[in-house]
Amino acid sequence: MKNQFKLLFVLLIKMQIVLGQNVEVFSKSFKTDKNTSVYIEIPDGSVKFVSSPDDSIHVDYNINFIKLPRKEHQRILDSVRIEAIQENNLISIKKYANVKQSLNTSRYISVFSLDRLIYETKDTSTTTTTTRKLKSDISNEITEIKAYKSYHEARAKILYANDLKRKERLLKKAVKWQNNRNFKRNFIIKIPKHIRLKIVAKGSLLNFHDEFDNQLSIRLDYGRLYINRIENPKNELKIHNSLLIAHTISGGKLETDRVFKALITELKNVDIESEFSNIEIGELGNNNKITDFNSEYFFYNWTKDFEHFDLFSDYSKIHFFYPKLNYGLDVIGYNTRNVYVNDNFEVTMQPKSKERNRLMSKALNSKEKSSGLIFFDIINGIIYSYNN
Amino acid sequence: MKQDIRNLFNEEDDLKTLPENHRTEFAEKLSKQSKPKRSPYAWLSAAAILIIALTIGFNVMQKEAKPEHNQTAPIIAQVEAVEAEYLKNIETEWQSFVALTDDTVLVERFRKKLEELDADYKAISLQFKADSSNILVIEALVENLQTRLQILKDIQKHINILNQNNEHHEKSI
Repeated sequence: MKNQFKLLFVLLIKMQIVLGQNVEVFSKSFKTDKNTSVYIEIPDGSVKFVSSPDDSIHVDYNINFIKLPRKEHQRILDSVRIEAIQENNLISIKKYANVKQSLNTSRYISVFSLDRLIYETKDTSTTTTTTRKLKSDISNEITEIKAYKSYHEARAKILYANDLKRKERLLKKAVKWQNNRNFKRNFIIKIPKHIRLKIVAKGSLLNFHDEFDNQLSIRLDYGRLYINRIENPKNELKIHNSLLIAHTISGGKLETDRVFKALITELKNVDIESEFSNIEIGELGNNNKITDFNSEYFFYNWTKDFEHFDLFSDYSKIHFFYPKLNYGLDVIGYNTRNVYVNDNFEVTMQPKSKERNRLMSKALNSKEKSSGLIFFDIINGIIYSYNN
Repeated sequence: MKQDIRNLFNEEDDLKTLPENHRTEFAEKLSKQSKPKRSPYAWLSAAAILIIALTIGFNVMQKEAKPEHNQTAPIIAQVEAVEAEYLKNIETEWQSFVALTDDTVLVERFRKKLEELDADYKAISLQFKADSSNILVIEALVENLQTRLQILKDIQKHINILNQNNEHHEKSI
């Protein structure tokens, strides 16, 4: 018996040693100047972008083993492959796909079978309980979403918000997936000011943790993009089949396709081209333009000097909260239904027409300072108007 | 009622007398009973036990030798079943959508979007063939099918809202 206790004691000590071990996998730095461009390729996993304390770009990758036996460490470490090279003023950072991200398949069979039920009664309707959100509400929601631990958890909580049973099922799946992880990868890139970045990512979480005025070109598919604040007139973001949350996007172009949720606290000077997306904007600043096909938009609030806002849409749903400002409104189009949510009244405007006509208008009050003009060109759309 | 118990024993002796060949008869009876009763199906039980033991042994050996194959085969079957079910429903929704609208531009735009999604699906399927136990790949496949079905359902709902109570109206707010 004494020997058994000794053996148990030794095992416990060994377990303590392997818990919570942090291993550096990759670390490299490059000097940059204002002409430096960086190309980053991310096929999976997550990357956190933070401000560099100096003029260098720092690439760091480490793995924190939470409760994994040491003999398993090497297998995980071997699955990580990163390259970072500099040629003249171009720095290329390439992370290769992890060798395998398998779940125990026998456990997964029962989980997977749940998916067969999903399509049957899914209701994505968000129109019944919509109320005006303040900027602070959007910020709080962003904080909540950022706390979601996985793409699956975010997707379940967002897409099935009105379907508690289904949400619970999917969350169980997400939790099983998370519980299967007994190590955490940390990929951090420290970005100096003034360099240009081009990022191509798939199935990844790109987290712009700090405020950046670098020129950004991002292409993201099947992933998550978290932005604190980005500001540059030459920015180009192409986000497909993903989640986008941002406190501030200022300047540049944003292209979205099948973005299941975009939540933006402040938007200004941005040209958006979107389709099949769901986009909520807490506050519209000056000179935004949106061209859309078959998306759902929420315009909650407007700055006092938004100046001009243009929307061109086809088969879109627009949730329009009237600005509590002195503003002008001009709506042209045809075959568009206007639902006055607070008055419980709705009507389809120009249903038979195939030519644009004026559908709604509101003149500025010439005695007060103007905040701006809102112009909607809407065909085959639905406008949900809220005056609360 | 009193009687001598010795008399009772004497009476008993008078009643029962053993036959002369009782020893040989007893020996014959004994020899007949001592033969064990053999079930005609006993060999079947033994064979069944042997077969079960061999099957279990073989399965254990196979599982140890090829764990991936044994685990992934049901996944492939399930993905195929889910795919078939979704595709059937997508086709039904597509037919319903085409019948609902006379906007050829809209139909064309959706056709193109579904083709894009199908191309995505084929690309993901190649990854699935390479690694059929990758949860992220399986999720991507299912999401792709869900998206196709959902956009078809959503656009029909949208058209139905537009078609409600069609009346010409202009309003100044």
